[in-house]
Amino acid sequence: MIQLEATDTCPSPLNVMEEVELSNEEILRYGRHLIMPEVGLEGQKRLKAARVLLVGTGGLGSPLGMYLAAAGVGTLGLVDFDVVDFSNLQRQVIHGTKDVGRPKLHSARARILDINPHCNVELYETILTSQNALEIIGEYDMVIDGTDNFPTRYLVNDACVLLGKPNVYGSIFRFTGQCSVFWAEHGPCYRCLYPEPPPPGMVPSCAEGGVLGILPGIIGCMQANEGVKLILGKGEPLIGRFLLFDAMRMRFREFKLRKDPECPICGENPTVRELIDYNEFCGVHPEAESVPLTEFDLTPAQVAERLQRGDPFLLLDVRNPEEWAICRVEGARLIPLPELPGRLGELEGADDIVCYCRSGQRSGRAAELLRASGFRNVYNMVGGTLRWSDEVNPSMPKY
Amino acid sequence: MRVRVELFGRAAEQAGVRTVELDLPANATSATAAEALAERYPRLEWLRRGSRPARNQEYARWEDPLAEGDEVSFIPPVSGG
Ligand SMILES: [Zn+2]
Repeated sequence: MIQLEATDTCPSPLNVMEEVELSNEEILRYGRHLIMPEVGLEGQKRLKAARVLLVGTGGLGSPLGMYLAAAGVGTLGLVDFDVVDFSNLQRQVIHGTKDVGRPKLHSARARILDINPHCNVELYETILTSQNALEIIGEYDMVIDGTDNFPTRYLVNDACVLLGKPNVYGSIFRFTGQCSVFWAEHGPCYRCLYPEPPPPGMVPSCAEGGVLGILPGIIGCMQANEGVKLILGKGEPLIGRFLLFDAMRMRFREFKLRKDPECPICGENPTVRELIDYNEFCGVHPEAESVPLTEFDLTPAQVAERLQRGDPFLLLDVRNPEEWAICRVEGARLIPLPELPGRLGELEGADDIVCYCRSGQRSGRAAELLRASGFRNVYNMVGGTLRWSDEVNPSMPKY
Repeated sequence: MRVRVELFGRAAEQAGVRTVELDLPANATSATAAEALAERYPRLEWLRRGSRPARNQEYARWEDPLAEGDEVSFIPPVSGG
């Protein structure tokens, strides 16, 4: 790994630069950049020539798209397949209330072009997969990772290592964020840090655990900052340094990260030489939602019917108390999933239990745990309170 | 030997503390520290399987030996974006 001093130039993926010129309008627009020697006319031309791929236009992608466009990055590629939802607006500030229901790519492009019509926006309305990642990423100088799941994070990392591109990494959960620059040619990659994903279900998603709306703004801006430095080839990048941010305490911690000679993809004897099946690697089954009901599943309508009949069964809510305070099914009893293993004694004698949560994921794990602990008739209410709101009682709020 | 463990995010919430002093046997490693921590705070049992240890602000391996006065951290992966 190379040691860089604060005054050293940082490595840049822009080696051969196409000739670009700035119009008078652009010179006026970028004036505050142009008068700083660290950017100058030459740096602003580098920004204009740069091609940056943003994977995800959500929490991190929002500030990334807006600030990189404003800074004058010439081409932004956006990858997303999602549609704007009300629950996105608390943090995904590139989309507005008027955009709810619209593809995120379309509202993101509109916002970017409003900020800077000189930005060339290229859209990929798809999930990034092992089949398309090399082709898409190959068109860009660097990737900035704003995805929200482990399979895509490993996919982005591996594709960047195989293509020799830098990957500006950022990740968020609740009140903490992480940021680093992974670039195997100059330092460690994501797999040097986490060679394998955590066991499925161990690390909660933001949908399950929540996230402070400001947090992706802070971390996404840090990624944008690192991206601009790489384009300029100036400053001291986060290569080999892993930044941990705690919003609650307003503290940054920095950890030194070395390239692992045993890294499965960027090490001395790599075992991963091409892209793999990342859903399988992470133990994730994205098609799980459409899986037909098993004998242990009940739809919200079936649960409502059993409640109405007065069937004797225990309705167990395994969400957190904060979620219980938002809404609940009448007659349910709360034992949050993390506390369940230690509170099995409270369920003794119950021989008919229906578990529910927000989406049916955590309650599925709770039902498995109860069955493994010897409870016999344990069911999962599929779709959780979200589906209950859709199919049984529309006055139940969704979150 | 005595080491100081610093906890972040969810782990700190689950333990209810941010720093923990641990008394460990002379040949202790990052793994020993995680196990001792899980014994004191059972909800931190996942750290050994779901985080990466760091020793004195530098990423380490589970089998790396610790020394008196070390600061040990466990950094869980997060995937939100
Ligand atoms: Zn690596």
